[in-house]
Amino acid sequence: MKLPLFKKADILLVALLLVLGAACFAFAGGKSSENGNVAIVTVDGETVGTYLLTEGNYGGRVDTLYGSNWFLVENNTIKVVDADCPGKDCTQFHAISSPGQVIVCVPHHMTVSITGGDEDIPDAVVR
Amino acid sequence: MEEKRLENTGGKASANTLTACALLAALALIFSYIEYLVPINIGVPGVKIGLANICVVMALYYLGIKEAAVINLIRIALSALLFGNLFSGLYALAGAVLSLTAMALLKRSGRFSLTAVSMTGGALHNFGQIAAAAFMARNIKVFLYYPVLLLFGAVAGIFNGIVCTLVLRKLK
Repeated sequence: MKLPLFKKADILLVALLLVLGAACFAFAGGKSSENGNVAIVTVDGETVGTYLLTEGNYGGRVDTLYGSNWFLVENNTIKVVDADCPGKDCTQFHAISSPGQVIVCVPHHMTVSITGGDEDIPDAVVR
Repeated sequence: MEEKRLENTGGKASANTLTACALLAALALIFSYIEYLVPINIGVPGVKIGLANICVVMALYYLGIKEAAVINLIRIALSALLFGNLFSGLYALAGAVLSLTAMALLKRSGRFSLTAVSMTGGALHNFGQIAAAAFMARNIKVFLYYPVLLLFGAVAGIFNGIVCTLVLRKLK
């Protein structure tokens, strides 16, 4: 069996992977560069809480059927700082502030995302 | 010219094959442990250096698909039990199935270098993980994290591939 380090056809794979990466980015709706004002927390796809990011610094807790997550709003960003799920993967996400960014806690079926303009602010807002 | 690799002569695995599998599985576990000790935080959970795939690629080329699959399964099950949790195991499983299938197909086509196969394997392993996470969280935005993971996975795969190629050459 010959074992070359690289072969010409490899370029094809590199190209395919690049396409895959770009496709994912587009498929997921891209990322906006503006900051948003409101963080929305959904569990199983349903909104369970909304938080203004412009209200200064505060923390809070989200209780779901599956467990709890603690978040911190500061400097117009939101970050999950603790959770009672097994891996605490959700705490590894960086703080988010733009529409398009998300923080996810998979065991709790929970997502935190950002929306921007006033027209997106739902009826109930937690201060 | 006789091909120098361990042939599985059908039916029960030979003692050589079994031993090789056990060694590679143990090595894969050690690599997983090292990855666990050096957590990489780029703002996305589940990003790993991907060293353990060296063993899978090695198994694929030195032994065969079946052996590579078994080693992968053992590695994932044990590291999820020892250093991870149910979810990390599930993501890894999704990634591994996708990754190994693709690598086996690419290898069989004979058109690509081991390095490229390993690169694709690493990239797809991360894709499987992201897809699993996006599915479980019911949120498509999770895919936005993939381009970064793609880069890490591909680079790690290239590194693994080069190492494997060099080692396998010496084994001839």
